[in-house]
Amino acid sequence: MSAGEAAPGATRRLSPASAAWRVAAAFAGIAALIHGTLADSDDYFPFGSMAQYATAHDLDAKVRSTYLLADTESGQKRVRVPLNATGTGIGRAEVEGQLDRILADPSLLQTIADANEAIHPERDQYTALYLMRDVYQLSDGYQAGPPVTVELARWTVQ
Amino acid sequence: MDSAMNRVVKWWTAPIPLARVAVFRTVVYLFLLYDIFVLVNDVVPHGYAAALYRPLFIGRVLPLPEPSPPLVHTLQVVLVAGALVAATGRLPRLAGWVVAVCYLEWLIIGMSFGKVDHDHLALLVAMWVLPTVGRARFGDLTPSEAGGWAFRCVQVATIATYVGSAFAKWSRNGAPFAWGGSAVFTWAIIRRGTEFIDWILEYPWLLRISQWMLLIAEFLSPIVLFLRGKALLLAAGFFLSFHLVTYLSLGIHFLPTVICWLAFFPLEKLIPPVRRRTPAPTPAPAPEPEPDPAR
Repeated sequence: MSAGEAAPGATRRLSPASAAWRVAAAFAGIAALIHGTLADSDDYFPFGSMAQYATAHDLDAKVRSTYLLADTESGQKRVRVPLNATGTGIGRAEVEGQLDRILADPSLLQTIADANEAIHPERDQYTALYLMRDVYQLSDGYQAGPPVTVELARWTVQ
Repeated sequence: MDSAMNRVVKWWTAPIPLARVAVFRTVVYLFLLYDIFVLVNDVVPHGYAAALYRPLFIGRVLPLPEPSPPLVHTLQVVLVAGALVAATGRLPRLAGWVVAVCYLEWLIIGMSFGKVDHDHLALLVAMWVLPTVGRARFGDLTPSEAGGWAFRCVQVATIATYVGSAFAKWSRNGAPFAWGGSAVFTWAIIRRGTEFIDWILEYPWLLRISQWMLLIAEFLSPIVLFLRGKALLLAAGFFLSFHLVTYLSLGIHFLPTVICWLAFFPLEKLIPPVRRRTPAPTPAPAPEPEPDPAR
C-alpha cells in the first residue's frame, strides 16, 4: 500500500442467508442458460441460446441474402429500403426471422411502409414494396459465379 | 456447511473493494444510455409497428405491456433519468431497480420482432445485480462480499456468452466440432462483409482455420474466470481483438459484452489516491444486513 492511501475498513461480510440466496440465484441463472442452450431457442432471452452464427453452413451450400426494395412517391423504382433502426425500425434479420409470416401474408409489409411514414414523414414514401432474395452458390467453400435474384413477395402500399 | 459447499460460496462472494463497484457502476449506467440510443435503438420505432410484435417467453409469462408509442417513450425517459441518477451512485437501490426493470422491458420489446441479439446477457445481468450491492463510494476501499458476488455474476455472464456460444454450435449441429469446418464465415461475409474483409472469400481455408480457433477458444473460455495478471490480460486481449475484427469485417461489435470485461479488472486503481479514504471505523465486522426495501 503506497503512502497517502488509507487502509481499507474491515471486510463487509454477507450473512449466511444473504450469501445463500445469492449463490442460489447464480446457479438458477446458469441452469436457465443451460436450458435455453439445449432447447436451441432464442425464445428464452436473455437465457437463450447464444446461437449467433451457430449454424454450420455446408461448403457446397447456397447463401441467401434477403432484402427489401421499394418504389417511391417521387417516382423512383426499386430503391433499397434501409432495414435497420434508423430506417424503418425493422431490421433485415427481423424480416428474415418472420419470412414465413410475410410470405403467407404480404400485407405485413404494409407495417413497414406505415412505420416509415410515422417515423420519417419528411422522407420519400413508399408506394410498392418488393421482398427480394439473392442466392449465391458455394462450391467447396468458394463462391461459384454471380448471385441469382428472385422476388419473394410484393405489396402495393395502401 | 461442508467444506466443498463453503468453497463454492467463498468463490461466488470473494470480496472486492466497494470503490470498484462505484467505478463499474458509473461506466455501465452511462453505457446504458449509449445502448438505448445507439445499439438497441429500434424500440421506439417498434412502438409504431406493433403488428410484428411476437413476445418472447418472458414477455408472455410476465404481465408486460404491449409496445405502443406512449409506452416506449415513457420507458426511454425513465431509463435516461434512472441511469443518470444511478451513474452518480445516489439511490443505488431505488434507481438501480427501476433501471433493471425498465431495461428488461426495453430489451424484450427490442428482441420480440423476430431477431434476438446475443450480446446483452452480461449487461442485463449487471443491471440486475448492481442494485443488490447498495451504497458504494468512489473513495471506499472496504472489501465487500456483496460487491464480490455482483462482480462474479457479471464475469460469469460475460464468459457464458462465449462458452454458451460454443455449446449452441454443438447443440444446433449435433456434434461439438461440426461448425469448425463449415462455410459459416463465408456465409456471413457474403451477406454482410465489409471492404475490410471481402478479399478473404478467395481463401476459404483461412476462414476455416479462424473458425477452429474461435470454437476452441470459446470452449476453453471458462478458464478465464480463474486467471490472474498477465494471463488474464492476454485472454481478455484475445477476445476483445476478436470483437474488433468482427466489427471491422461484419459490423458486429458485441459492445455490451465488451464493456462487461471491465468486471475482471481492479477498476478502483483508476481513482486518484487522494480520493480514496478509510471509512469511519466500524465497531465489529458485523454481517451485512439484508437490503431494506424501504431504502
